[in-house]
Amino acid sequence: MSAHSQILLTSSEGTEFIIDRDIADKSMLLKCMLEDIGEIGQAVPLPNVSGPILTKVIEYCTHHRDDPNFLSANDDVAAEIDEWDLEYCKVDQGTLYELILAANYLDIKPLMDLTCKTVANMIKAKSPEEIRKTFNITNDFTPEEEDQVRRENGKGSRRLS
Amino acid sequence: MQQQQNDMTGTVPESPPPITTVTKALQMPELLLHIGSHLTSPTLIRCFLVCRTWHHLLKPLLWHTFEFPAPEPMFGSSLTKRQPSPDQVRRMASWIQRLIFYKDPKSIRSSSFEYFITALLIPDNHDNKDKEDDGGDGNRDHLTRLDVFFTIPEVDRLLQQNQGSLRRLRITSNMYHPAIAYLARGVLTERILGMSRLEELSLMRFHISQGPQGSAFLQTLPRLRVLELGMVKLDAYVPGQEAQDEGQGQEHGQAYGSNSNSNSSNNDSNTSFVLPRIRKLKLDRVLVEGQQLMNLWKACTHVEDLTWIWTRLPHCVDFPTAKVCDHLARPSSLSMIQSLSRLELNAKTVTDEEFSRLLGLLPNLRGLVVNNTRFGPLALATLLGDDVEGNESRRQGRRARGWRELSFVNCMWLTGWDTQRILTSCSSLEVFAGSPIYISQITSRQNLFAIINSSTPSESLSTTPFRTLPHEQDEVPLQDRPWVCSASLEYLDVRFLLCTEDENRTSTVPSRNSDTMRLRKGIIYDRLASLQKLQVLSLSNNDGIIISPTVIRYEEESGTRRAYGLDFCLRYEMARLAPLKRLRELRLHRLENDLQMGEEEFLWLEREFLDLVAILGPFDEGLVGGKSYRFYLGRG
Repeated sequence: MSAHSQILLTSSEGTEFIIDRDIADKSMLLKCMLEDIGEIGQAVPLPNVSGPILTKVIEYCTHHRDDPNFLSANDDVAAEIDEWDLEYCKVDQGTLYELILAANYLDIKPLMDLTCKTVANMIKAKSPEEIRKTFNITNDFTPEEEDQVRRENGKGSRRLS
Repeated sequence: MQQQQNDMTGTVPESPPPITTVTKALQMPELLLHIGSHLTSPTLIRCFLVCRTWHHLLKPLLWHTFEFPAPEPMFGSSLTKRQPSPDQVRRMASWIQRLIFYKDPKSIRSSSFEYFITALLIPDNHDNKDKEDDGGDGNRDHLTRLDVFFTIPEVDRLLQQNQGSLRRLRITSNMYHPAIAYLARGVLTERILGMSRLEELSLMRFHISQGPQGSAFLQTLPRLRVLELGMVKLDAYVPGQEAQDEGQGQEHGQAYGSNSNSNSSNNDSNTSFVLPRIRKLKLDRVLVEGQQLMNLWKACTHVEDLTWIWTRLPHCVDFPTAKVCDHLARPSSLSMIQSLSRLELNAKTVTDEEFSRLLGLLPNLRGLVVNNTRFGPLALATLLGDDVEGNESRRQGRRARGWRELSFVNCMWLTGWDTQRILTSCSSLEVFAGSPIYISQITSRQNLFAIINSSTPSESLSTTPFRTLPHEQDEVPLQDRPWVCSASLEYLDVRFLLCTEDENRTSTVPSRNSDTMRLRKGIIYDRLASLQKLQVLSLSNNDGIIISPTVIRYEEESGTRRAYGLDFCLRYEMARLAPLKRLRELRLHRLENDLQMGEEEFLWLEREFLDLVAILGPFDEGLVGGKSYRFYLGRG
């Protein structure tokens, strides 16, 4: 039944998107909504998601349409991102952020994991100073505090055993 | 060119931060926590130093992953977490999601191991109280990853209590030790079979017997994405992919218990045994009858990452290259050919020709780790795409450009020159290790020379059709050609960069501003800015050329041996590594393990390293300094 049914979505600018039901079901938000109220034939408004981002999200869901492991997301820290996903995340940081928010809002866990992992990879192997620079964060530690954090986490403690 | 490269790295600090949007995401605690949960502990510790909010929010995440024993405190390392007291553990137990035991409890105080496990268990008397909440089993169901030595009965209870949540499980038993093997006897049937969320299973030193154990194992397989068998004795009958395995299947089915029989009759509709979910398969010294292992491998039709390790143990099946190639050549193996992207082989009997054929059959391979094989000139030509006989030079380039990971360990047929060729033609490498000889196995320098000179086939360079590059490049000698490393190169191990003479047995010195020399002198160029791990060998003289045995003998006699080999970074000061902002692991090797540093030398090295740490931030692995002052930075 659901194979042919289609859902109408409206992005924040009012652009309409028609997607298949099984793609909409990738989003827990839409899935629950559709299960609760049934298909009403009206457009579902998504005021928090802009058109370009929604396009991107739909692209992701369409690619993973037949992925049997879609929801058994891997929480492994070291797990590798597959090639398509890697390519998919090669967007500017603004878009990446919008994607995180959209994934969070629409409750698409695998997309959330993917985008967060991408940000995590940007943090990986950077020094604290570099992280601050990259993400424009101000260091609000006092020198004493910073020193204490450093000490707590063992810098310079050469041997404890 | 260089500007382009800079753009690609994307996060060059000089550019004014146009990025404020992700910053917004990082300010939302919920999202920051989500991002933080994808970080490993060394990174987390660095993140604590970013600002107060991060420190406050991320700190508990450190407990998500728990390693036991905590990695040894190392000098200058960011990982010097103290071993917590059992009391602390009990308090934090609900936080721990990933639990990893590194050492065999026999090598540490086993009482603390036991203590620790017990601290994680729900005490018996709580079982009754929790009954209402949890359906009576007192399940903790917190752990998603467990890496454990199955040597005490408590481990079984830990498994039981986390049966519903475990996704990654690695069990090390000891099949040669009757008492320990006895403990683990029922784990497949009673524990693992019931783990509904299990996706990655590693069994080490394990005996999978026939009968219920074996069939439980086979029933678990279809759910897995990752399977690793290390020194496992596999007696269970693995059915062949073809339904009627020459009647052999019937015979075995009857002989090996009713379970497998009922299985095959149940699945009459699809009789073939296939494991399409498995993406990663590691067969490490599996003791099994050859056909069974082939069946297991054949069943994994969509495997992406295959590891096959062989040793001389009796019954250990070497990589049957001819059979594997024949199977791959069949049209029905198309999915396997297309999905296989990483191959790791440790198989001594594979010849150069066979390797070449294998590589030719696998067009989508992006990673190759070769250890201990006779990987030689022919296979290298296939790897670089040189074997297409120059009629389609563009296609060849594509093959060479496609490689992401190349590691050659203990491949005595490869020379420093081959290393150089790879570095000058594979432009998207992320991991490269070109150390044809296993350093730790070499006991003396003389041995090394003997190996290089005798086992390097002289045709390595002369017979290889390497004249397929555009002519203009031919004029630049190989050792001076620029490296074409990608902007994402993370790991570089060039212990054997250019340590042999060229085909005419005359040593050729790379010109002073070649990439080879710049690396040796510690002048790190922009293209390596993404580097996270670096391994080099201090073996050569100032010119980057191996010294002839006579010189060594002279140096030994005149007692100047100690200062020898300090050319890399030490001679030129380690501070020169500072442009490698991402560097988190540095290993400097000396040729001989017994050639240790004097205390003075070590202290000096230590000082240099600390200066580097001050610039780059804490390392993941620190400088190892013990009584013996070994000469490397990072864990050995």
